[in-house]
Amino acid sequence: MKTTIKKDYPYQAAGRLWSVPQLRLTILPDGTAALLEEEIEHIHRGIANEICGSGEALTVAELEFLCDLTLTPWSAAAEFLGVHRSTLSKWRHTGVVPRAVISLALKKWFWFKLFGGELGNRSVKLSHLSSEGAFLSYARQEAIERSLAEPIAKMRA
Amino acid sequence: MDWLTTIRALPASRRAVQHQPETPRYARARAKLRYVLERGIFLGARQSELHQGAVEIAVWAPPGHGRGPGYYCCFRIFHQRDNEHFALLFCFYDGTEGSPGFKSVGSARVFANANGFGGADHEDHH
Repeated sequence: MKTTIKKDYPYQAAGRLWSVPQLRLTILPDGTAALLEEEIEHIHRGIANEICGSGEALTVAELEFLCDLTLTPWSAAAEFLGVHRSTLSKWRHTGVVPRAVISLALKKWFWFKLFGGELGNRSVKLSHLSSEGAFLSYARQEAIERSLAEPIAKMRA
Repeated sequence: MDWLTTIRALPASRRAVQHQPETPRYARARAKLRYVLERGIFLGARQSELHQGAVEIAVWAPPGHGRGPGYYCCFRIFHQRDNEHFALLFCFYDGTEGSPGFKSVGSARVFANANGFGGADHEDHH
């Protein structure tokens, strides 16, 4: 099957548009353009790394995206936070995860689900551990430098 | 033949989502692909009218977060020259952007049957 590359492609995911540096479209024998699951996963890992490493509050669309990517049931996220599943359902109505500390805890949890297998045992300088935000920013860069995630920029909310 | 099990067994290089103009629903179709395959329930199969030799199946999965419509999807399964299958998700309905929404597997099955997706009767032909 043939492949077509789209550069700086505006890609919708997790409730916003992202600029994907290179999107590989597969052309099926009948001419249909398609995205292979392996390409989708490659892009979504890059987007997840950006979400987890970002200093912005986690949105519910991003939380759902991270759950989908890691095949994490909604109930498991609630259990991790020690809240009832209905609490997450309430957040769906407001669209944002209400407290920064919860946002950071979820980002760290998902980042380790995605990249912890490869990077979880690496030593980290103390300066990167000054805060959860500082660590996640460092972790995002590490995943990119180790070629585990592609840098993918946000286009707009 | 259990087509959903066949798709589940395929590697990520043999499963795809049909490319569409970027919309939130298309984004969800890509994001939910693995979830739908893991949690999906087979609704029926039919021969493709447009693609000779290809089989199309309808699948419904409950919403991951509880309430609301689930995800109704159709896959086209091609049998390739190397004797392997290739599955393409070409339809994704979740009640948004004017698409139908199905809160139960029963209502999804009624819709699938009305669109030519048969159950055991169709499968007997394979």
